[in-house]
Amino acid sequence: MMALYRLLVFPGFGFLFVCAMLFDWIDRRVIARTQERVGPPWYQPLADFIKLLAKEDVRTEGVHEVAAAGLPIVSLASVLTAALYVPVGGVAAASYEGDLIVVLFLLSVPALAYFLAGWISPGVYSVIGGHRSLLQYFSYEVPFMMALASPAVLAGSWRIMSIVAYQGQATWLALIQPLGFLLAIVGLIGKLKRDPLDIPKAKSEVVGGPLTEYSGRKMAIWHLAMDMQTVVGIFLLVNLFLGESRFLEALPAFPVFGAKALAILLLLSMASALYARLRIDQLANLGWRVLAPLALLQVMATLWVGG
Amino acid sequence: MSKLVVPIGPQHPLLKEPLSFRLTVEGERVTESAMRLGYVHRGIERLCQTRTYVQNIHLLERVCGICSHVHTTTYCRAVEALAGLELPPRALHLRALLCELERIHSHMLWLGVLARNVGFDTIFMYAWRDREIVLDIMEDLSGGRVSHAVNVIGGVRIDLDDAHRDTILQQLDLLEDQVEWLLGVVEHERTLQARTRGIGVLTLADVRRYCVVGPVARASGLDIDLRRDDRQAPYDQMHYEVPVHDAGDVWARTLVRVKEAVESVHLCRQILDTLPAGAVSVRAPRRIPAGEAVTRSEAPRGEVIYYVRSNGSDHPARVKIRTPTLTSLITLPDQLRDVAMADVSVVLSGVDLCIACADR
Amino acid sequence: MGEVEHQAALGKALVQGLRVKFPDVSFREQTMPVDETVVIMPASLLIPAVKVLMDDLGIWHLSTITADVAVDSGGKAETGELIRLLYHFWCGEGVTLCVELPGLSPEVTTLTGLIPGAAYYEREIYEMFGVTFDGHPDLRPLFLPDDWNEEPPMRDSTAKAAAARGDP
Repeated sequence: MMALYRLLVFPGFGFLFVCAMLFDWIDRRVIARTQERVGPPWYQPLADFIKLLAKEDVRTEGVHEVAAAGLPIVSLASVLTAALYVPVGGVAAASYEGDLIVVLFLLSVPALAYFLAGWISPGVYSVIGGHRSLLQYFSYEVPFMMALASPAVLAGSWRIMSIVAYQGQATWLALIQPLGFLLAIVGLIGKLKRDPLDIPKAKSEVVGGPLTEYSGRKMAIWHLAMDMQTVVGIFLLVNLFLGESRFLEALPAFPVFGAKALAILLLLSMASALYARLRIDQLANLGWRVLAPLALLQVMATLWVGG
Repeated sequence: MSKLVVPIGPQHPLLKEPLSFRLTVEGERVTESAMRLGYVHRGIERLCQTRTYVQNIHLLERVCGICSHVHTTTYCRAVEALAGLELPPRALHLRALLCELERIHSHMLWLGVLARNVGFDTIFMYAWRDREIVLDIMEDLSGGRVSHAVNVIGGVRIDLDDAHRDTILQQLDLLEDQVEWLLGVVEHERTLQARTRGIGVLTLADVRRYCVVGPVARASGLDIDLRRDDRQAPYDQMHYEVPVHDAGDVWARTLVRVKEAVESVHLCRQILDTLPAGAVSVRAPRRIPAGEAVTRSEAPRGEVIYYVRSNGSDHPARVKIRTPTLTSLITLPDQLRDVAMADVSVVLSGVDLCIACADR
Repeated sequence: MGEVEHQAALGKALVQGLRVKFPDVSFREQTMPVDETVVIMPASLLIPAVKVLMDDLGIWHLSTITADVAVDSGGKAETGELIRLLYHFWCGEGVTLCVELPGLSPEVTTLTGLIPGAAYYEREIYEMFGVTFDGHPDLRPLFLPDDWNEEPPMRDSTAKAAAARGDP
C-alpha cells in the first residue's frame, strides 16, 4: 500500500504532475516579470494542458501512427521511471546502489525520442530539428554526465541517497565542486532544450522543430513529459549538489528541499531571460572545447582529492 | 548529406509579412535560395491614377505599416513642388518631427524583431515597451499610433501648444534614457554579438553595385543620408550625426540603427526647441498644374523616391514609388549564400524587410 | 546657394560630356522639381550615357527606374503611345536620364551589366509595362503570379483611367 502511495501520489506521479505545472508557471511568471510583463495566472499551465488534450489530433500523412503516438508516451514513461529513484526531501519511491546511472540513462531517453519524432516526420522543419537535437545531445550530454559523476566519485557511491547523506557529513557539493555544479546547470539547460539552448525548436529558424507536426493529445503528452523532465532534472541536481546539510538539520526537510529546487529553477529562468540563443555550431564548440575539458578537469580533481 | 528544400514563408514564424523563400539546405548550410515576392501586391501605383491628389494621401499612407508618414510627406512634397506651393516653416518642422518619431519607432520595432529572432525575448520586450513611448507621443499629436493622417497638400493638419511641447520634451527625456540603455546592451551583450557578427556581410562594393540605401548601406561604410545630402528643410538647420559603420554585418546594422534612434531623439528635441511660429498649412489648389516632379526622403529604411506626373487635372497621371526595401531584397540571394540555416533568420531580420512596402 | 549651383553644374557637366562624345546627337535638357536635371536621349545612347555618368562623373547610385505611358505630342500620330523610361540617378543632386520607346514592342538594353541593382526595377517594368530589357539575366515577373497571362497591368492604365474619368 505504501509502495503504491509512493508510486502514484508522493513522490510519484501525482506529486510530479503538480510540480510540473507549478514549475512551469513559476518559470513563465519569473521570465515575464524580468521582461516587465505580467505573466500568466497560476492555473495557466493546467489550462493549457487540458485545452491541448481537447484539441484535434491531426495525423500527419506518411508517419507511422504507432510511432508518432508512442514516442511521447515513451518519453513520459522514462521520465516517470527516473523520478522514482530521485528522492524528494529524503523520500524516494525506490533506491538501490547504482540508481544514479539508471536515472541518467532514463533521462536520455526523451532526447532520443525527440530526435526520432523529427526523423519519422516528412516535414523539413522536423527533420532539421531532429538533426539539431541529436547534435545538441552529443554536445551537452558528455559534460553533463561527467559533472554528475564527480559527486558520486567523491561520495564513493552511485546511489543518490548515499550522495545526499554524504553531504550531510561534509557540506554541499555545490560548494566543493562549484565548477561541476555550473556544468551540470548548463548541461541541464541543454537537456531541457530551454532558452538559450532551445536550438532544435527555435521558432524563427525551424518553426517547431521535431514537434512541428504534432498537435492535440500527443502534443499535450510531449509538453507534460518535458515539464516533468524539468522537475526531475532540477530535483536530481538538488540531491547531488545541494543535499543534506548540518546547518539546516533543524528545519523540516520538505520545505528546505522545495526552496533549493526553486533556487535552481530561478537560475534556469534567469538564463532564459538573459541570453540570446546560440547557434548549433557554437553550442558544439562550447560543449567540446569548453564544457567537456572543464568537466574532465573536475573529474580528475575529484579523483585526485577523493581517491 | 542529402539536400532538403526548406520553405520559409509565405507563412513562417520568422516573417510577419508574406514573402517566400525556398532554401536548398545541405545539413545546416544553405546552398541556394529562391525568392518570391508579390503576395501583398495591391497595385497602389495603379490605384493612385484613379483617385484625386487628396484621396491619394490616405492611400499612400498605407503603403507601409511603419513608415507611413514619410510616404505621404514625400508625396506631398512632390505635389507641392508641382503646384509651386511654399510651405510655412512650422509645417516643415512638424513634418520632420513626425518623421523622426517614426524613425525611432521603426528602429525600436526592428531591434525587437531581431532580438526575438535570435531568441533574446527580453530585449524584444524591452524594445517594444520603450517603443510605446514614441507611439504615445505620436498618438497625442495626431490621434493615430501608426497611421497619422497628418499631411495635407500644403502643410499639416496638426498643431501643438507650449504645454503639449513640454509634455513631449519630458517623454523624450525618458525615451532617450531607454534608447541609450538599449544601445549599451547591444554594444556589450556577448550572445547577441555571437549571433550577429560576421553574418550577412555586404561590402562597400556590394552596396554600391546594388544601389543599397539607408542603414544597410551606412553599416557597410557608405555615408549617405538624404536628410543631410539633399539639404532638406528643416534638417539643414539641425545638428546631428549620421552613424556609419564599416563592418557591413548584421551587428553593424544593429549599431547603426540604434545610434540613429538616439540621434533622432536629439533631432526631435531640436525641432521642438526651434519650432517657428506661424501657420501650419497653406491653401492648395484642387487641380495641380501639369508637370512632373521627383522627390526623395530618408525613410527609416533609407531613400524613398516618388515620381509624380500631373496632366493638369485633379488626378495624378502617374505616381511611381520606390521603397528602400526593394534595394535590400536584391542583396538577399548574395547574403543567403552559404550561411548556416540558423543564420537565415538573422540575415532576414538584419535588412529590415517591409514586404508591404516592397510589393506596394 | 553656391553649393546648389555646383550641383546643378553636375547635370550640366553630363550634358556637356555627352555632347562632346556624341556631337551628332541632339540631347534635350530640362529641369524637374525638386532640383532634378532631366536629359532626354535616344534609347541607343542610354548605356554610353550611363558610362559617362559612372566613369567621368562618379555617379553610381540609381534610385529607381520609372516607366510611364505618354501620348506622343510630337505629332507622330502613327506611333500613338510612347513608353518613357526615367532613370533616376542621385549624387547630391538628381540626374534623370529619359529615353522614349515606341508603344509597340518596347525594347531597350538592360542596365544590369553596369548596375546590378537595376535588376528588380527592370523586372517590375517588364511585368507592369511589357518593356523587354535586352540582356537581362533573369527577366521574370517580380510581383505578378507566375501564371499571369493577361496584358501588362500598367500598360495603358493612363489612357483608360483618363477615359473613365472623362479627362481631356
